[in-house]
Amino acid sequence: MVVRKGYNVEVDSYSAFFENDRRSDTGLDEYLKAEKVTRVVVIGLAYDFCVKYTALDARRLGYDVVIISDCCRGVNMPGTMESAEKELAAAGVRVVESLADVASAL
Amino acid sequence: MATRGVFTARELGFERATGSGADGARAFGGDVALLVIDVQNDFVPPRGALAVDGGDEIVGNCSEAIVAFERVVFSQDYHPEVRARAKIVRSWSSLVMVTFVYLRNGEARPRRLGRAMRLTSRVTLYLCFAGTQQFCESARGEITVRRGGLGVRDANALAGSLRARHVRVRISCRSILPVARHGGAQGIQRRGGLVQRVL
Repeated sequence: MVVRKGYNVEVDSYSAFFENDRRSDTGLDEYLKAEKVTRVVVIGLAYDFCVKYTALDARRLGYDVVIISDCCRGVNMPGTMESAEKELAAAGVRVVESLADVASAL
Repeated sequence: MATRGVFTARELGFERATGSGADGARAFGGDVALLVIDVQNDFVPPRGALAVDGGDEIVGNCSEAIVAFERVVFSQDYHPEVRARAKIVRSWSSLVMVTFVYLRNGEARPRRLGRAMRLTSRVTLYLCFAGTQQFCESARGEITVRRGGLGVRDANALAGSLRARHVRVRISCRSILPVARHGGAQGIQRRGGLVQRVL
């Protein structure tokens, strides 16, 4: 499945679940719930923006969430990486180093 | 090179990856899904319009993860920021990003082009997702597009429509190649992580 986001020119999108206005969803949650998914592993770009917001939204929507850090890179603007780590930890998102660590984290 | 007709994955230089791990099994299934966020050409150095430092270095690791999961979702971001527009306009003056164009009822319409962007008499259609789209299909063997976008077929339709309006059209494709085709992560690194293929 491919979710295309950021479709509204006036509203940029960081999370794969919602457009940034928080009103329009992308259909991802509906798809995952229909497929009876309860746990998600998140990877990609950029760690401190789209990956972070996707992971946080996934937590809010009730999923267990793991991020694989060696499958991510951050934009790394001042403070964004530290802020991402804090927010993810506070939300209960587990960040593991590599794919090999996922099995024990799930 | 002028472009006519519909391109297949093979013509674009993509072939199907193995679609599974070395032993043919996927490690994670059941109620687990992998979400691959925005691993797309625009975020990958050296040519991505909004490249993330080191973004090319994760392609190999992501590929290994993708084949380890039964259920994989890819997100793609159109990031229509003013910042992105300005950068793109500066670098390619006659370029219209596919981001800003959509198809409705088979007819191409510019989508709320910004002040800096306008449809000129010469247009390059930049298939910013072409590589990742094929990558998704190769890895999963199936694909469900929930929201509209410009794939190869759409691009050809759009090109035809623009040409009918006397616009000179060129299709450019920047691609992240399926890993299996080039010997895994090492192969990707050897080739610089990103391959540009201009049709």
